Amino acid sequence: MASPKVAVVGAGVIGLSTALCITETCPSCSVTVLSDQFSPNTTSDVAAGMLIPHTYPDTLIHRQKQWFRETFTYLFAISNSAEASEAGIHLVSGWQIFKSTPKEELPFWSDIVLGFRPMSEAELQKFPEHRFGQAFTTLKCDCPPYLLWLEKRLKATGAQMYTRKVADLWELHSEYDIVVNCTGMGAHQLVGDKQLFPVRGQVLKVHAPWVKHFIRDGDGLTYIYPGIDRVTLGGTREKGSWSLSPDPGTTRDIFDRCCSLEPSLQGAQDIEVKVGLRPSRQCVRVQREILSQGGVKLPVVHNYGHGAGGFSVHRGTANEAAHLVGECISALQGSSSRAKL
Amino acid sequence: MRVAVIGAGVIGLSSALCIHEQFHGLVPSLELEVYADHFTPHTTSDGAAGLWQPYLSDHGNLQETLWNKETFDYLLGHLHSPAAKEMGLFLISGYNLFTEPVPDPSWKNIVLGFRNLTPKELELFPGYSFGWFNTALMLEGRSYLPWLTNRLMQRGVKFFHKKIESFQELFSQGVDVVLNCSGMRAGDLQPDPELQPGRGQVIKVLAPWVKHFIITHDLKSGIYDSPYIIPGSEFTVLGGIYQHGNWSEENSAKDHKFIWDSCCRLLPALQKAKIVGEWSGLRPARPSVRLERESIRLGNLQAEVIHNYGHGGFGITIHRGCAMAAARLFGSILQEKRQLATPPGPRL
Repeated sequence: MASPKVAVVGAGVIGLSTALCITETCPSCSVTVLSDQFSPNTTSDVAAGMLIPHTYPDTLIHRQKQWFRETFTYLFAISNSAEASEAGIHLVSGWQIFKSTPKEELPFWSDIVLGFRPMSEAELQKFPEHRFGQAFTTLKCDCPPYLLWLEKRLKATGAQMYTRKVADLWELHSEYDIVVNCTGMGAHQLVGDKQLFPVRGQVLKVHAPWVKHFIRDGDGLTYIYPGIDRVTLGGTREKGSWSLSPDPGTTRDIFDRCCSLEPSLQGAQDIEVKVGLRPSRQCVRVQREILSQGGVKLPVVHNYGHGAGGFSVHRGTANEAAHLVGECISALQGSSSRAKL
Repeated sequence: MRVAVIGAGVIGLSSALCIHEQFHGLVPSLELEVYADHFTPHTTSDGAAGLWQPYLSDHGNLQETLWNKETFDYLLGHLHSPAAKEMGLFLISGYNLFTEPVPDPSWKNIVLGFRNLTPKELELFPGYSFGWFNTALMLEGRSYLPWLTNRLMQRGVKFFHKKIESFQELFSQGVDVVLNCSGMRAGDLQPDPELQPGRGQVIKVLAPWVKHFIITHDLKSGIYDSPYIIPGSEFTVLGGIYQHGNWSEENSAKDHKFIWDSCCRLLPALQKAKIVGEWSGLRPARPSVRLERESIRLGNLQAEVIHNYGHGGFGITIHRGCAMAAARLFGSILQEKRQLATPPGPRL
């Protein structure tokens, strides 16, 4: 197999980063990204892109930690380069605060982010309703810039990108040797994964350039994430809700909750409301599968179900998916050489 | 009682406000006037980035450390007030970088979350082997000075766009007390060889992805003579010039190149930042702040001057502590005048 043809379905942060990893690990592959949506209309574009991991209940912690470490290391290098502003990657410091002391005072990722330590009494004075907090410095991937930067890197490798709604993976078997499924919430329909469920998130993106720190309530519901030009205020975690329409009552509630943590937000301007469905699963599905139909085989690599933690682990899962693509290629080359005998 | 403040930078305006707030009720006849040749946005305070941070060493000057603390605590108390945005006040965290270990600064317990940098953080800054991280405050002159001006105007304080040539000029008009907050130009009013310019130059850029201040230190060169990056609410200030004795307020191409090259080396992402302005200013440097009373004999009158100048590159950092101290000096002047005004008891 001289030049394996790989189709990556999905152009959010997972699809684009997976496609890029495949071009890096398999330079002879021809990679095509197919998606019904591209930036700025993907779920990734709604997310703040903060590197603060979500814990997947059914994925081994050491694997989640590895994914996060690889992602952090990769983005850390970009943030420290001349490409940082184009890629939308920047360091941001801040606080995760709790109304009551959490069971786990040291999250698994505390030694990967920078300068992680408990907040001092003086620092906690800023949050009179909160009794405990953690201060640290992490990275933020602003979207659209990060997705556009990934698209640019992909185009430079010769990868193609097409707007196309893929209704069935089998559509692709005649044109492509391997299909990589990075369809996020779309996998519910596309591969019938009933373990995948939406967790609806509504956010506000506001102009408040004096806000230089992130603030996150440990309950995950209220957060303030300053990006390059806008601050993301959140949010909601509505399990099972498929609605993509902004709710005005929710907007008011998010704004009030964020203002109670950061009163200066009262002066925020240009409020934009966005909704995204976190493609949630008990464990991220990074897995090889061989689909079979009427004697025809189609190797598929799945990489979806990142829920609330897509940005935090994207590069790590992309690396793993690219590795699985490599295994698919080896298997195909093995079987084709056997066929020659 | 006519009080004239000379200077409308952060020192003049904050001193005026402290005095009016504290004594307006006690002295119904109090008339406060501000005289300056430059007003916001053309003062030295407007050019400064506005970061609250004292120098590395207080040289044993505990009084200045106390004034710095008073200022920080005062500002921190206003952080959650509705006025904060209008004041140009917000929290900011960042890095101080060194090429060798240094002792903790006098202000380590004043700021929030002060700690040493971890090895991983130092990887961000090749060439620097030691440093601090802490959370401090920004107080942007371009917002704070108009805010102070509005507060003063609401209180009926009058402003005069006039360069005062001598204390005598004001006293002969009937002013009772002069507050000398003339910063770099104090020497024009009364020679002071200890007051020297510490020339600075800054480049203003658009780099909204920078969320931390980064201040490098070259212990051999001295403060602010090493690159620094301070993100504001609208633009980011790049600096690193401190030229003792240089009175030029013209931007220098050589200094521009030094600032640009060294800041881009420090933060490669800056290479893509758009330059939106450049400015040079003179830090009113002095071995210590001159904050004291002086009684001047003018014929058969005793005129009072309160000096409050020489805050170098830490005017914003120390302003409130000094303004309160100036107000206390004013109080003692009032006390004395009251005693003089009280007629002597009946002679028996």
